Amino acid sequence: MILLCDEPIDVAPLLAAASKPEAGAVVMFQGITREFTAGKQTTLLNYDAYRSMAANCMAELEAVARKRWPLVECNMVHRLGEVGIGEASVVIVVSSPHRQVAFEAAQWLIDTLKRDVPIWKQEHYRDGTLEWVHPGAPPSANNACAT
Amino acid sequence: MKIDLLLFALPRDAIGSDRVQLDIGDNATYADLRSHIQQAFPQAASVVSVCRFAAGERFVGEGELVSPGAEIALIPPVSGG
Repeated sequence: MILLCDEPIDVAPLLAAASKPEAGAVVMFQGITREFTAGKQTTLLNYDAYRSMAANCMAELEAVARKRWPLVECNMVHRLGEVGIGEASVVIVVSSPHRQVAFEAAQWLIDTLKRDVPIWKQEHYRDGTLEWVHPGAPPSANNACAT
Repeated sequence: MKIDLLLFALPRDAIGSDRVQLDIGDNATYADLRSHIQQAFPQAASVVSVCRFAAGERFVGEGELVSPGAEIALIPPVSGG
């Protein structure tokens, strides 16, 4: 199950959905807004997406993961808009008969999501500056505009 | 030919719009499109140098011809999660 949402993510129904009699292992990954990065204080993250492509890409990740591993359930939810400190921007819950598969699939799903799914975060720093996070992009004067 | 280009995140903010119309050569590749964007919007040139392109919501290669019928998007390095 794939979902892009604009509200806080409730993990309880995701865990409940992944708990099936044939699933001996349930693994959950949550990506959380961290307060300090390289000494700079973040107040919130603002997420933007190319929504239709992001949803398609995430559905494709689920399809690939299900071909590679014997998964029982595979649920991925990404929140968009403003996500406060300590709140989850992404939750991945996979279940499988045995734990190794669930760990491997969850790790592959978050790693591949972070590499290929068209979603972007913008840091809102305590000092009032904003910064789009584009890994590998050269430093740009446009990427640190004061509010 | 005229194409509409969807913009996101830093390139969108640098260019100041979430969609721009560009007039490019009929047999332009995505490499040509990249150069065209960099010349038209020099303030976004450095981030555009590391962007990918998507057409019809799929990543496309630098050497492919720009297809005017597809929805074309400039995809800066992603940072979801």
